[in-house]
Parts: sequence; structure tokens; C-alpha cells
Amino acid sequence: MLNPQPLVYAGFYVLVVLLPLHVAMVADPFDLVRPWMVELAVALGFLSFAMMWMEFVLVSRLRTLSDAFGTDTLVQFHRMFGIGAAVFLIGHVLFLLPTGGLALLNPFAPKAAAASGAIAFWALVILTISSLWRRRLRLSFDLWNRLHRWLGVLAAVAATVHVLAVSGYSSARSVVVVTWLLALFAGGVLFWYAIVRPLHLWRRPWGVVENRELGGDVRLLTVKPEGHAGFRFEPGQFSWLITGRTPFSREQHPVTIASAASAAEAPQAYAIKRLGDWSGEVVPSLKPGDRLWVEGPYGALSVDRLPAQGFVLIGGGIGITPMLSIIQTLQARGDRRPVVLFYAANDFSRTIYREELAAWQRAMDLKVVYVLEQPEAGDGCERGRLSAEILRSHLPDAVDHFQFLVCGPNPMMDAVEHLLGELGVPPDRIHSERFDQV
Amino acid sequence: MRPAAVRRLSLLLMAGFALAAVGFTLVVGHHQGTPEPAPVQAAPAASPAVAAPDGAALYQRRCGRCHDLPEMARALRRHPEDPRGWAIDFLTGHRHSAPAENGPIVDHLIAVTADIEAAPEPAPEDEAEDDFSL
Repeated sequence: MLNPQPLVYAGFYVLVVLLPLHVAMVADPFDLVRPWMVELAVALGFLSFAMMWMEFVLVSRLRTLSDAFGTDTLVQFHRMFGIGAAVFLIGHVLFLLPTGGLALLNPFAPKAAAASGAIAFWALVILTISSLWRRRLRLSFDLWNRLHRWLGVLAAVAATVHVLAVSGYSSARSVVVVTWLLALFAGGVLFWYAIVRPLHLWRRPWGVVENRELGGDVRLLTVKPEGHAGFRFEPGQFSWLITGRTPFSREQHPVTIASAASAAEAPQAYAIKRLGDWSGEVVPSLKPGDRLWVEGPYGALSVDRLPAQGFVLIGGGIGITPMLSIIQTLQARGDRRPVVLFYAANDFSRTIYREELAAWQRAMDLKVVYVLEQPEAGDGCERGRLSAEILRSHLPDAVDHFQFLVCGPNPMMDAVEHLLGELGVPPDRIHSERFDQV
Repeated sequence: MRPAAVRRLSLLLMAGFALAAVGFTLVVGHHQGTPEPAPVQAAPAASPAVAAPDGAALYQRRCGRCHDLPEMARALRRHPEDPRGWAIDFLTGHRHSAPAENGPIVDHLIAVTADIEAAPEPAPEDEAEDDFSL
């Protein structure tokens, strides 16, 4: 049955974005015919204003939204609508240029209405450029992250000041009210995200139990709740690991839980690949007894939500971690449904949990297929990249009622989703989670 | 959701938003659909002493939120050949004020400009910094 939750949230988003425009249209305080370019500019400005504020809501880790769409999908929407807000704002300025001139772009204009508009414009332009071309501009993730947060807040606040200060539609009380309501709603979510949420986490610390090298540049970090009950999760979900002195730290990274979903207070294992400063320097330095914070669970890639007669799991590189959690959980539960795991990697040295996977094969209906790009003789695996032939040759005959779960690097996931489509697997039976969004 | 599906859905929604913007333009254009007023006749030259009494208030209400007086005075001084005509064009272009309000606003602006002209010239770099293009 179709889950109505995403539709309800999508409808709410559309409603909120269109609300200021609709209220302005009804209020229309002008007696005179104004140039159509000015009115179109105003409309684009209202849209951009509302979309800017809603950007915060999309990525504020609201669990209900994450459950409905998946965090990766929310981030993709955030990215697309962020670009849309910038395009609408550029349109707003372009259509006003004939009457306002280049002074519209002066952030040091003496009047608040003009200066705030220009500040919002430049903040959003810089934010968009730095996000689209972060690597080309050689911005570190940390610097980009700071820029992104502060420019986002600056753009939204300046846009609000602009809407309220300009003597246009905001001379109507209803437009002022809806402007404030929108800013307070999204600003409230932002406040919850930036202040309330970390304060809540602060009282629920976790401690490092074990931190060891798994091989293939991957470390296994095991943590347990300290003085609280932890949280339950579904196999395949992820958490935000927060290191640093407080939960207000900027060091917050999404990591899939690699252990079996069991009791809330049980230790949780996270397999973390060395990919950057945090995973390469901070994670290896964590010692047993060190304190950190774990915020979760998030994500919709879970077998518990999928009615199926069996599962096909496709993991590439570190994307194997949700599959490890799923397999361990099914095995621990005594689940007898068949599972086929395709594990794609460069070579055997880049794979993890080989012995455990061999043991689980004996303990449950699990078939593991290694697909290695550079195998050595006698590895007993498929050679090359995952292809339709490899998939077809290892899938059971009756996969019509199987669910397909995919996690790995973006190019691999694009290729696999395409391959599964070629094999006739309908999109509603292909489930994935992407983390590499920036 | 697959990235391609997210892209398609986002583009579809944003196309809908853009259509809503066009709809807004058409609807408010219809609301405001009173016949275009006749061009405002330039009022006889007014001295600062006889400027319309409500010009300052009208200026504050219609223009003052975005344009401060010194900035407008400097802009007027850049059009010494016909400051009144330029100011009327400026006001009719913005259409924040009714045609009947334009005369008093322009009178007020010209009066203020005369006052500012009587004051010492600003430093050259000051002028360059605040070059407000209208």
C-alpha cells in the first residue's frame, strides 16, 4: 500500500513555498498598474525567500522526514531546491535591473531594504558556487561546511529583512504576518537543530569500547551508551557520530551501523573507511573510554520495512556496512529467507568481514558473491565490475518477490540501478542510500 | 529515491513554482488594471520655500524605505539639464506613488537638493563611494 507520508510532506512543502506569493496576490496593496517585469521579479523573490527558509527544514535531521524519504533523498532535494532558490533570486534581480539599476547589487547601500536584498543575493550566489564547485575551488570540507551554514543563515535572515523593509507588498499586514510565520517556523526548526538537539544529546554520551583496524583502510569502532538506554535501530540504518568536546562540535559524520539490530543498550559497531581528515586522523585516535555522541537512528534503507520472500544485497567498498548489519540481524533472528550478497571491491585486500561472512553462510541461507576488479589467481570470485551477466548468473530463479538493497559509491550505484532496471527489476523494489552528496 | 527521480521531481516542482510566479504577475496585473494615467505635467518651478507641504511625508512613505534623501539629491544633481523631468521619470518608472503624488514628491526633492547644494561639497572619495545608479 502506498505510504501517504511523503506525499503529505511534499504537499506541505509546496504549500509553504507558495503561501507568501498567494497572500501577496490576495493583499495586493497597489492601486496602479506596475510593469510586469517588476511583478514577476516580486513573485520570483517571494518564491526564493520561502525556498531559502525551507532549505533548513530539509536538512535539520527531522526523523519523521528522514523516515519518509531517506536522508540521502532529503539532501538531494536540498541541493536541487537550493539551486532553484538561487535561480529564482537571480531572476528577481534581473527583472528589477531596468528600474533599480546595478545599485540593487550593492550590499553597502545606505538603506536597509536595498542593502539586505543585496546581502541575501551575494550570500546565496557564493553559497551556491561554493557547493557546486567545492572540489574545483579546492575548499576543504570543513571550510565549505562552515561557509555553507553561515551563508545560508545570512541569506535567509537578510532576505527576511528585505521582504519586510521594502515598501511593496509588505505594506500589507497579511504579507508581514506570513513572512514572520515562515521565518519563525523554519527558524524554529533551525534553532531546534542547532541548539536544542545538541543540548539533548549532551546528556546522553557514548563511550568507545573498542577501536581496531579491519584492513582495507577500514576501522571498526565499537561504542556503548553511558548512563542511558541508547536507542533501537533497524538493520541498514545509520547514525551521526559526533566527536569533539561537546555535541555542538562540527565533527558530525553519518556512519552506517555495522552490527546486528538488537537491544537498545547493546554496543553498536561502526565500520569507518579512511576517506578524509576526520576518518583518517580523528577516528584512529579514539581510545577505549573516550567520549562521543551518537545521534540516530536515521535512514530508510531497512529490510524491516520491506515485505519480501528474500533479499539481494549489493554493497560496494564501504557500502558493505549496512549489508553486514542486515545479514547479522537476519541470522540472529533465525530468519530463513534467502539472501544473496554481491560484494564489489577492487581486490580481496579491500574487503572486510570475510571470515564472518563465511561463517554466516554456514549458519543461514546466505550466498556471498565477491566481485573484484583485480582478483588474484584462486580467489574464487567474479572478475571485473558488476554486470548484468554476473547478477543473472547468481540470482535465484524466483526473485520476483525479492527486495534489492544497494549501497556503495555513487557511480557504482548508478550503474547497478541501471543494470537492475535492465534485468526487469521494478524501481519500487530497488532501495538505496547515498552518502557522497557534496 | 533514485537521484534521477529526485531531479525530475524537483525540476517539475520548480517549473510549477515558476508558473505560479507567472500566474501571480497576470493576476496582480489584472487587479491593478486601472487605465494607465496620463503623464504627469511638470509643475511650475518651485522654490524651497513653496514646496508642497506633504511632499516630505509622501517621499518617506513611497520612496524613503529604499532611497535616502542625500542619495536622491546627488542623483538629481547628476541631471542638471532637467532634474524635474528625470525625477518624474524615476517616480513613474517605480510606480510606487500615484501620479498626483509625484508633483509634491519632486518639489520636496528639489527643495532638499537646493538645501544640500547650499551646504559644503562632500569629499570626492565620499561621492565616488555612494554613486547610486538609478
